[in-house]
Amino acid sequence: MSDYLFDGEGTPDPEIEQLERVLAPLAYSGAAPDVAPRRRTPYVIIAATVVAAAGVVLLWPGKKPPPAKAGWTLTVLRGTATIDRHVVVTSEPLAPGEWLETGAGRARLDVPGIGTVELGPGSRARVIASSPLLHEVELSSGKLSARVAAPPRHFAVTLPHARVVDLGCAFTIELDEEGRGKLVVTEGAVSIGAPDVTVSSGEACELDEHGHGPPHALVAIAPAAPRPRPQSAPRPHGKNVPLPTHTPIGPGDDATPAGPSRRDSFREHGL
Amino acid sequence: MDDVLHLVSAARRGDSRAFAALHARYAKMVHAVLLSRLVPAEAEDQVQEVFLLAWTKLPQLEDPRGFGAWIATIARNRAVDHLRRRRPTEPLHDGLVDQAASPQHAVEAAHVIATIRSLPEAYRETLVMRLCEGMSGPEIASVTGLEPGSVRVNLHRGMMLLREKLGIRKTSAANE
Repeated sequence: MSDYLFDGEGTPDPEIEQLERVLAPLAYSGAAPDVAPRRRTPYVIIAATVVAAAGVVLLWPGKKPPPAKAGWTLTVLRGTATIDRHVVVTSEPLAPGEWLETGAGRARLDVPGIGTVELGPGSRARVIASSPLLHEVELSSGKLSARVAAPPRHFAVTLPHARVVDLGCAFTIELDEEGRGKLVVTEGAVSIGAPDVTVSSGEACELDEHGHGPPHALVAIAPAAPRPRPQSAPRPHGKNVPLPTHTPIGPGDDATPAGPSRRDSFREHGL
Repeated sequence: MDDVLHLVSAARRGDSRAFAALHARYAKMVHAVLLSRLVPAEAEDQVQEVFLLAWTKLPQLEDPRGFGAWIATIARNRAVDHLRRRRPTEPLHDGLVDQAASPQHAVEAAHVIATIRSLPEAYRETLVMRLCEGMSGPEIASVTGLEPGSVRVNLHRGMMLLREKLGIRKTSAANE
């Protein structure tokens, strides 16, 4: 009996095929590690190699290597910052994966073609994506203010319990050490969570260990002049079976304040 | 299995080419084990670490025929250690950003992989091997040491749960 899911034989299941297409870019394609030929005392050789490598690192001049992907530049606005515990006084490139901490100071990240990200005191963040399609920052704690001049969905912020995707705007996120805080949008809109919810200019939502609360209007912040809503993007080429056709509205939605309607499908929010 | 026995035996004698062949055979499985627990960028990095660790510990492997299950255990332990050192976050997708056709695809992949990670452990690794790494059920059985029947059950039950969580209604009866 044919079983497409088990052995790829028989009539293909369209949903499975779609999942395969979506996940294919995540497949592993790395090379084998370069291992030293085993000798009688392999542990001695490996240990010696590690020690020698550590010595090379320690003796190397203190200049930071250039980032694998150019673009992110850290500028200290006040006080000092650290990149993986290396103290930065003025300005340095920030490579993906390196942890930036502002301590008592403030810093700014500049990304050509994207905009600027300012980090307040007590912030801890790192770049986790840096490509023409997507620039993404992970915020562990602190305050992040972004002003983005890129097309929608080219910039995102990953939080401990949610993910914020820029749709063309300015927004601020504050988080405590437990990942609780608030997202405030001052211009344009962002989408947050999965399935995504739109938070528009003049709105905020609470952030906690469960993800995020519903968007609500901020009376204190006057919404910026309305921007045109992002237009729907052309559908990707090829067979396109929608994945989540409908997400039931969860409890508590009746109490959601009037505002932009919730987008229940993570695919529905087009560009 | 005889070729695995030969490769492991050769690698234990220090044959790096044999070890490279083991990497070619088991890397996708190891990556799937890691990806079912870690974000894509971290999973990608940890594959090399797992194989380097396996290289150093190979003399300790009692039964060469159990290499697949053995290195999978190393990968799981590695993932646990890695998670303990840092607070878990929402799944990332930067590993596919350079390859995805659009940010929309990146968002979709992140959502799907996050959903798979929320499934019971018995299903998530098998689903990642099948749907992400493109491994067939028999191939999964071969490298993990699981019985093909067990792999089939894990795939179907896992897929059923995944459909529920993604809100997909099963439209095809081909796999019944």
